[in-house]
Amino acid sequence: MSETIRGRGIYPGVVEGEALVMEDCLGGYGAFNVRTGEIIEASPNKGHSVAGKVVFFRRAKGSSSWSIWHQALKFTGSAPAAYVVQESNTQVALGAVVLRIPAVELGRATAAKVATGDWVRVNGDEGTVEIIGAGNRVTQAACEAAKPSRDLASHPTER
Amino acid sequence: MLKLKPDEQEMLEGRQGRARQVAMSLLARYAEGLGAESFVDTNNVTLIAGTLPDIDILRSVVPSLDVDAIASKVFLDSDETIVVDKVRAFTTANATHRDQRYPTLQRGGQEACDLMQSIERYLKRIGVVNLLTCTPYQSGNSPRKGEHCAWNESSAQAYCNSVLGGRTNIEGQHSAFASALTGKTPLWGLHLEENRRADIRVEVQCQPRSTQDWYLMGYHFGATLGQRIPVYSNLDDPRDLYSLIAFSAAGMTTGSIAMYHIVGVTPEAPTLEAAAGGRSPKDVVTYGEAERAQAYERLNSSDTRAVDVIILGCPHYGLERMKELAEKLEGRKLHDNVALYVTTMRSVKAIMDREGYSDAITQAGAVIMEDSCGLVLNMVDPSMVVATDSAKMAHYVPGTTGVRQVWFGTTDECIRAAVSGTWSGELR
Repeated sequence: MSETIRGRGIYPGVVEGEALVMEDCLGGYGAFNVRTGEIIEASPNKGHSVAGKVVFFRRAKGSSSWSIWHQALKFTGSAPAAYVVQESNTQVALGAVVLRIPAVELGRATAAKVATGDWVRVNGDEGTVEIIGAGNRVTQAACEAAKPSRDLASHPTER
Repeated sequence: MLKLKPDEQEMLEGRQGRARQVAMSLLARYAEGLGAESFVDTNNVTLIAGTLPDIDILRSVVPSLDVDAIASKVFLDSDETIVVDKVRAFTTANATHRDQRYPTLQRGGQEACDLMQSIERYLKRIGVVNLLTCTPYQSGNSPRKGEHCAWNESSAQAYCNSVLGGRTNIEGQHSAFASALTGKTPLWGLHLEENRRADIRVEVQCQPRSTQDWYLMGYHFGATLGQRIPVYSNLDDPRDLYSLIAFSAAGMTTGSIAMYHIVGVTPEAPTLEAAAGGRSPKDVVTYGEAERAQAYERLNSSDTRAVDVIILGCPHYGLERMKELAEKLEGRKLHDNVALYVTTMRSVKAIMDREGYSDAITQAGAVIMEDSCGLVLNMVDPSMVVATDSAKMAHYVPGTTGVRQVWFGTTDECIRAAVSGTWSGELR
């Protein structure tokens, strides 16, 4: 199976990697452990690591120190391999610049085709994301089965 | 396609020195990532002095902790150490996040304080004014309507755009530093008139009656509106200096509301039509008691009423709030088991000293922290119970300190808990 999704390139470069698909927004400050990349904020992906992953997320959110904490992941060897975002902004563009990782902006509908664990190729030059193989989707099932925190219980995830 | 003007090309080619070259290169890649077509001149930049990774991470990439090397590696994203001469734009620095008088109260202790003092000296050397506050507009950097700015600090960005009518995108430390060196920022997003118009109208069914209510409403819409620009069509003027600071902070905590309009209150919203660019937005949402209660629930994660730490001053309290706090604490004593910290900036602290506010607050047993941030307080025990009057603080405490028990209430409820030792707040 190979399917190419077309979007807009944010930062150039080509990389292959395993997808981590976040259905919510990605923060910087307080969002992850900068030493490991593990997501610590209340979110369906809590406990997953962004290190080495092609991270799919809806939007950037939170503190404008976003790029500082994403850059810190590079210093600790826990940087993501690429960003694929549904709706880009200054935080995502700057984050990609300082991490020097390929980044692509995709529309909302197309991003839903990818699941955590899939093997994907991100081409920031062309603005494309290619799904090379469906991964072990157990990861996602396990994530969904996790008991939602109090925080999320009162804040339904948009779909 | 990004087009460079002659002076920008000159900087990129290195004809204005290495620092401007590296900064211009970073800005050009950033502008291309945004899809910007050109740059605009800026003479108003803010940086966050204290936003740096923890000292052990810094040491792993800059073992000497030399400030020029840190600034190059972190702010300019350059492996080559570049000695910056002077910034080109008028630039102010936000909080170092360390009050030099209380090293042991803050994360990283003396070592972190020393590093921040070096950063402060570095910024002074390159021509940056150390205001050391997350609310620069309360301390001398207050942009005029239409001024092109490159600001870092989320709550200040929303306040600059919405309340002051200045124009800034959500700049990060890297882009703001590069803008300081070059005097350029991408002409994109909120710098353009057409991108500042509201695209959704909010009608409130319950008017905010306190700063807490503004926090709750901002917190709700940050989470639900994402990056949209709301116009609030029937909100009353808060008639104080702090509620819109709180509102700006909240919408940038759960989301990215860097611009909002309040008809009859904010400068680009004399009428609903003006705020929305000559039309009335098709999308309309409401805000009522249910949304208010839901935001309150999300912000209160504690079930333990014995409070250990109370944090006020996020974003930094200005003189109006400090005067009120001094009046409320005068002649009272905090409970033995409670510590109360209130954060502000050095300029406000200097006036507080002369007006007697500092004495009233400290004699009650509270600690005034200047240039700092409640989030760097040393929480020695993650089982502690923290209370605050800031939705932003309540939101960030768990992720940054490990503390799980947080109360969010009004300033009066926080003061009551500080004196009694017991949380008795509720949504009224």
